[in-house]
Amino acid sequence: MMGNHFSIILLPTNKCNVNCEYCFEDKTDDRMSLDQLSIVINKALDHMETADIAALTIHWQGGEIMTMPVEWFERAYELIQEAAFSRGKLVEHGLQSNMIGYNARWNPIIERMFDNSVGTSMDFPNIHRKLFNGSATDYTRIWKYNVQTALDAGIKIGVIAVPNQATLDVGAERFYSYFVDEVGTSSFQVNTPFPGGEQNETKKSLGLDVDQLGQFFADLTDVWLERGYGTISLGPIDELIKTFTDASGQLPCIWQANCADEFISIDARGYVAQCDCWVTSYPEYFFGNIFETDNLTKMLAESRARRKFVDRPALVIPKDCIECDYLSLCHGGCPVRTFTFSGTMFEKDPYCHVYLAMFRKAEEVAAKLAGERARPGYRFIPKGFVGQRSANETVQVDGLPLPGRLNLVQIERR
Amino acid sequence: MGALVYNIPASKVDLYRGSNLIIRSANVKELTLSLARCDPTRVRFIQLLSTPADTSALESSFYSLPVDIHLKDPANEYLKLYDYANLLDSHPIRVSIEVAPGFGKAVKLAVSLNFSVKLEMDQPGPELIAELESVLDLYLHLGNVRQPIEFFHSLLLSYFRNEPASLWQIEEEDPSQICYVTEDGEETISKRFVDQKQQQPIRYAEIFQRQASSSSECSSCEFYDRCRGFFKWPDIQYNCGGIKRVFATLESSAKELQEDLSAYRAMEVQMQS
Repeated sequence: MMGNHFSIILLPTNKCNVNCEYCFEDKTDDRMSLDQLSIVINKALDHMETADIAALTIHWQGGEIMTMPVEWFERAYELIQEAAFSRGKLVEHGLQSNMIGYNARWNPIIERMFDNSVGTSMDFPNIHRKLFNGSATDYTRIWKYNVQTALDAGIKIGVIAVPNQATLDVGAERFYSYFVDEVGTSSFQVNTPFPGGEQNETKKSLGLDVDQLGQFFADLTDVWLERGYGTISLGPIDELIKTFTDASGQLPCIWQANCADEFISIDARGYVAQCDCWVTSYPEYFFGNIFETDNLTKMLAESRARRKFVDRPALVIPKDCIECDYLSLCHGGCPVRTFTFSGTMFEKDPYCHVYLAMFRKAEEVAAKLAGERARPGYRFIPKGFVGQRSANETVQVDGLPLPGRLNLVQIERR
Repeated sequence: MGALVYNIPASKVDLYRGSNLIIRSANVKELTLSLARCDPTRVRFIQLLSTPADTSALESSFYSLPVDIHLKDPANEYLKLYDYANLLDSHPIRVSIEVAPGFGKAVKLAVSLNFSVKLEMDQPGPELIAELESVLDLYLHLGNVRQPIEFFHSLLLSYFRNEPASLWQIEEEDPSQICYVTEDGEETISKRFVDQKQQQPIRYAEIFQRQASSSSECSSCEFYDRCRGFFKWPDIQYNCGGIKRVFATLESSAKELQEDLSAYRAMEVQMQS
């Protein structure tokens, strides 16, 4: 089930305006009409009512989202807000675009619907992102120009970067400088690559040496601490450090207890699957089609494909994750990364070694940062169920002006 | 804590209407129905004695009451905890785990899913003591454990604050606070005592604790003030050597924490002057 918050990765178009070699989506020309969108939203709201879910976040992406008309989004926004208001539900929106089709006409809807914020993607060096009729260099030039234009218009830009071998070769310092100094973003996130969708020569070479990649993340953490800590958001490293410091970190979907509890994806044809990769490229993992069901809740509950995702942690964890000190942060990692490298989702994430390096580094950094004020280990303490009181009742250790997570006593290991 | 709390099977809810309650059942539907027949403000928590996969009834009901999920066979049941991860959105969750072989995995997964934990103690043998010490190590030292593990947590606090504590109370077996009602309707001290018929659980507990205190091990035990013979039931000859090590580790850890805090405060004063 889904808790009291629900997310949809919504692809109103499966069409894209660029030709990236490593894209995990198998594209089509399908687009969602406003009438179809209305059906999707109402069925999602029905599901929220049935499952007693209060809030929905729609992550809009494609295909490429900016191949849709601006006017479509203006009407879509009104349609969704009206429907949500009439049901007493809260809906928020996030936008992910390659920014190649961006122009100033998008600014008002970005401000109104997306909190003046856009997520985009770029690698450094860019090798795989290409135009249909142009090189990676052309792509980078247009992207950079459009991102600068959006930044100048006051739009907040968050960049997702996927490292390749050339990234590891140029190193963390140069990588960081590109995004922060040259592009001018104050928020970027580094994702690990995976060979999703139809195979090609590029995808065969996406796997990186895990030791090298782990070292890259460690180096990047050091560069960020030196140059950007407190001003630049660097995901997922900053959120990991927050997690170790005061448990406030928002970890990415790959490290949730079970992504099946968190979100679904719906594409322009109405297919429903776990995330954008599954919904565009793996029909055998579709949960169903939202246009062909009257009841999304029933579809999710009865889907055999979804059951595989629900069951995954319980099948993966006993193998060796249960012995790991960082089980609470990872839960076996990402099903799609596992599937695309291993051919099954019932193994742990192939980037386990990299994640371990990241967790260890983040823990070390959190301890060091806390050590500027106090040694790690000072904590506020909850009372829990003791004496049959509510588990969320907290009792604070008197007068502790100390950093640390809210509900833990931890003694440093000698 | 105030008035006595009755830990009752859901089937007995009509007999205890108006009392403070812990309601237990292996059946989610039975729990739901029993709550409809009592004042939910009187319910301290509900206890689920099984691990059904479908938790939807729990997610959308029960007035956000705390839920205790009981794992009787932790080594085989622990992976089912994933089915309950979303319950935290609507309820405080605790997992009560029998200290049986393999229970350490259940504790680790429970705290990894952000559930608090209560260890259901009996008289652990050497192998279980080793597993218990490993869990204690996890509680004290693992950086991403964010939830209390009882009885460790309350004992650590007690030593840290130099306050008295009772293991009987922490383990919810203090008859002055809780009365356990069996399926047959018998009132007793706790689940551990169901085979021991007592007319007055409080009186029986006093007699038992007096007996235990006169045993050679308890009479010279430095931890008796907090334990009060808890581990001497049912076999009063039980050797508490392993349990004493657990207590000693908690006591020394609390002392270490106190010393660190003193040092921190001194450092802070020094920095201000």
